[in-house]
Amino acid sequence: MPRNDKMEKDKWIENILNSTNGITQVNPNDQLFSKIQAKINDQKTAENYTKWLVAASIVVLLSLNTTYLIQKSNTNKQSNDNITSLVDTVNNQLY
Amino acid sequence: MTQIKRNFNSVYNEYNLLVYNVALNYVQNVEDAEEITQDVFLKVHESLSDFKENSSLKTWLYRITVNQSLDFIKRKNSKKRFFIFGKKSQNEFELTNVSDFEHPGILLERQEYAKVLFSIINTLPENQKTAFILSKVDGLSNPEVSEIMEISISAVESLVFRAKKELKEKLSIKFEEYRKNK
Repeated sequence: MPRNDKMEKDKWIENILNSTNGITQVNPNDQLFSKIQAKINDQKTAENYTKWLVAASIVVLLSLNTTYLIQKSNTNKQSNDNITSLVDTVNNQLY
Repeated sequence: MTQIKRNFNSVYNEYNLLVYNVALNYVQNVEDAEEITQDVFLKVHESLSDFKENSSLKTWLYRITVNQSLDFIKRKNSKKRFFIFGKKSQNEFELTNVSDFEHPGILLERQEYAKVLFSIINTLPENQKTAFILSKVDGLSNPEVSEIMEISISAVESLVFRAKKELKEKLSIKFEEYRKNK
């Protein structure tokens, strides 16, 4: 490459690499903070909804379990009563 | 106003310019930079009470911003891979090159040069790009960059050196196009 061309190329490259010298900071949109606040509030709403959902699920599960246990207990009692009455009526005579 | 809310507001007031401008240097698009800034401050809001001050607040914010910017670029590129010509694109130039970005903070007489620089920066590997942007564009010292990137100072120097070397090589090739179009 002729010397002049090389110098021109090097100068061009140097200008590009130094093009951000003295760069100034740019301001974002004025509404940005409001958008962030809105997203934070949305997140809080979603978190509260999730907490209520979990709490409601636990209540439903507990209710179902309690109902099942009560029913089972009633069934066992019924069964015991039946056995008891059967024993009472059966003739215990061994002969 | 709670302590955390008061702190968050003051953190935002103090650092929103920093975060926005770092993001802008990464993604070279005003709307994308705003989106990243929102994501950064959401993360800050979630984590501010857990901030243990192992580093300065500024360093912490830089780290979050760099990570969010890199994640944003990865997400954008992975969408592009499927949508360019309707199939996975193998053309890295198409995928990563952002042309015609006029950074509003750069002097008018340097805009054309800066456009070329920002387009070429996008072709650098992530670490080199980060080190170059923080050091050369943001003007941070090597110790500051090393703290943000959590690498040694000599590693930062090496990354910046390699970034410049790679940029010069690519610009040498681009110079030929520039001369033809002159």
